[in-house]
Amino acid sequence: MLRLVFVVLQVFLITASASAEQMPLSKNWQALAEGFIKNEFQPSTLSEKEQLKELKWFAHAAKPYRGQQIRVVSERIDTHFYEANVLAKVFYELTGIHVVHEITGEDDVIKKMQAQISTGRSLYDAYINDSDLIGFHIRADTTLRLDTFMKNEGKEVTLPTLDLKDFIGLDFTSSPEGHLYQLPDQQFANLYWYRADWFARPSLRKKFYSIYGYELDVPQNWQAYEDIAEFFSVHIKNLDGQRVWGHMDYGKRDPSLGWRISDAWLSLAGTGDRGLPNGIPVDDWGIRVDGCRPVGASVARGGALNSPAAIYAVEKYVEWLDKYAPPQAKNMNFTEAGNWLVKGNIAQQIWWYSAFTAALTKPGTAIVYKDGTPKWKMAPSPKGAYWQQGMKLGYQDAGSWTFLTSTPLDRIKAAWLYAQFLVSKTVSLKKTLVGLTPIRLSDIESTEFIERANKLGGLVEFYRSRGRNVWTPTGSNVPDYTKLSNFWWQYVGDAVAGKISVKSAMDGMANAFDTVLTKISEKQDGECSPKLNPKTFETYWLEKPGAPKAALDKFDPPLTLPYKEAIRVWN
Amino acid sequence: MFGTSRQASVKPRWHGSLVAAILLTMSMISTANELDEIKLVSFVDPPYMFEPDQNKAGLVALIVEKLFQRTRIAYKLELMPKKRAIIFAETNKNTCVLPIERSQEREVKFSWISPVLISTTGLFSSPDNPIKKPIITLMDAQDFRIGSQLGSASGEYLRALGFKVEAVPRNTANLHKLKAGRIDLWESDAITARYISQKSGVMLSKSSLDFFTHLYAIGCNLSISIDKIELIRDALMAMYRDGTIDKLNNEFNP
Repeated sequence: MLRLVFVVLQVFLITASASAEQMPLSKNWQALAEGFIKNEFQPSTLSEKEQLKELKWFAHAAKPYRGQQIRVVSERIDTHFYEANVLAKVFYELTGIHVVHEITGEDDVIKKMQAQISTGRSLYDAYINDSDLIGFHIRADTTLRLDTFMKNEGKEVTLPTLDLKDFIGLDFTSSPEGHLYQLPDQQFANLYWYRADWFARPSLRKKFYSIYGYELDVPQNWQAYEDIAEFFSVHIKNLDGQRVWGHMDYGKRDPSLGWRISDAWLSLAGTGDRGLPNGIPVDDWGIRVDGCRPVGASVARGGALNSPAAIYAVEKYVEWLDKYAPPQAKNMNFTEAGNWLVKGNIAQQIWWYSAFTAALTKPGTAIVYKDGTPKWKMAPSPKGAYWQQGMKLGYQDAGSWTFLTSTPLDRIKAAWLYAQFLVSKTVSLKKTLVGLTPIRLSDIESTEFIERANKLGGLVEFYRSRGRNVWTPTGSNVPDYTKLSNFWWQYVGDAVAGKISVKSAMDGMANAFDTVLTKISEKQDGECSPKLNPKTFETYWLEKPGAPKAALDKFDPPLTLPYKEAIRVWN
Repeated sequence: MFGTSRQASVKPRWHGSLVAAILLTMSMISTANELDEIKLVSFVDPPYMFEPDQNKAGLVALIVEKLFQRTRIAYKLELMPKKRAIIFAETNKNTCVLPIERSQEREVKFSWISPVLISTTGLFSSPDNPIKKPIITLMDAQDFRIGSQLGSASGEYLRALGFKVEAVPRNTANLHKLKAGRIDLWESDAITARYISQKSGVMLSKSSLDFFTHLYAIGCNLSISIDKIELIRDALMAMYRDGTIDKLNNEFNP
């Protein structure tokens, strides 16, 4: 008898559990969800009915995790403030999962992630970490592989309508074999910025032509960029009652100088090889791989970090800083220099993050017209002398959801629900219009995004072009970003200060890289861990096709194109 | 958590005090030359580091003791005001300062061993004046008056986000202001909040929102060899992995 009761009870519990998932959500929940759809999540590429279906899925999937508090951390950009201040609360009301979404500097995000990895203590349940660390993630065994997670232990918490094919940045967050490690949450590119109103002024155009013999338009190469910089800083000097400059940059020996160069400055010069996203076999950090195994950064081992192209890149950076930027720029860091463009006295800037589009389109500043349209534009970056068709041309940031294997699985699942909510089609177009950091093709091709074009200075045009695949983050040739990244600002900082020549700086940095690659090889197992080539004469490598490239003795003449043609090049 | 430490009233040297005697006798004298001894400079911030005459070892002092035991590197611990400690370590060979945040501005100036301390800052209220609104996101606290200690990194963080932050030299004052209803919330880490609450006998409600995690590090003068830095770093990581750090933390925040 007891056994019969027990069996009946078991059957009842199983049935109850199964039907709980299909139990309809309350009328209150329905009204709440419909309210959010109408008032917060318009526009969307989904119909309201489709949005409601997605939100219902989240509510059901979240049931086992209701009442949990989840901690995530991300960097300090507008998109993440919107997530932390608005979307986290909506998610809580719809699912009962309380997300504490902390906002801090990107360097702090990385330090916290490293602290979790090295101590084994779970500090956060998820990180929105730049995909620049992909080389570390694919080698270290401390990062959750998302493709297998979604198929296996994460299957019941993976959104059926996530639509991975719609993401534009998955090449950046996957291993060379195509395994997905991170899911992009926001993306922005580093592009060329210029005062379109000044470039259109007839008197300036006439004067430029008389000096240089070609039109004042969007520079297509560094030779033209340099001429334009000289034009404004040396020949014009004063415009509309203020001192003006043809170039802006920063040079303080500070960690922010690191990403000034490592965010693909060498790729603009043409240092690496052809092949996307980063160059095969030599990438934009000058690191050569054999298969997936780093074999050296110095030219003597087949790398390109101290190649003529890399030296040219840094020499030009130092030269322009000295000659054409405001004198204070040499002692500024990234944050300090970032306050200059809005003053309205800079004609162009070759290295500028599109994440600042919103800040530079605020009405009432010297660089925005009264009707809200910007006086400036962003355009594809001009190419350095060594650049060739088929190469990466500049940097794109991809802040991406990253989960560490030291985080308990149930917490990963709850955080994964939050992550997917933030990138779901229900939310993503509205989020893109708020933060201007698109991640989905459907959002980029939406009417609402396209209609914003004249107010966004060229952002829409860039993301609708194939340029979005050519400007890329740091790639998988870099086996441990944090162990190598400090060398950039330490060596280049000494060159800026005049303590050493650029050649000595790049030679020193290349050797330092090789030393660290050797140390990494001693600690990292696996077929993708570094294994250095023996050193040989540099001429052996320089004479071969591809990177490292031999020094050029001839440079192309300067070239500019009108804005519309400059964009069309990438269509 | 760490405000500006007090001025010259703090005795810079511990010689003759009981705690100094305990720590100094516990510091491992290696067979190496006395020149290899590292000078650690820190600052008073209870319960992490107590004044010498209080005869108590704070959490940071205990971590240091265990850490240097493992490495068998000799050390001497000296207290001074926080700002002076940082400059002292930057300008004197064989010296490290702790616990400090590893900011971008400081990155170039030291070799780093991190994290020696991990703390989470919360928003505490008084049961006598409970806040009526739930704080789900940090921005829900924007309308409240928040007490902080002068020099607090969390206080600066909130201020930069546009919060109403009132900073005072001593954290105990925040507790009394909270009880009196002169501020609505107090930003503090849990260990400090518990300590001050117990010491002053003023009750606190549970944190309404733990909104920021701070990592604190040991910053070492660049003269110290990378091998030594790595030795200390490896020992610190081992202390996390074998539960030593958690055990020490639990003594202060069970």
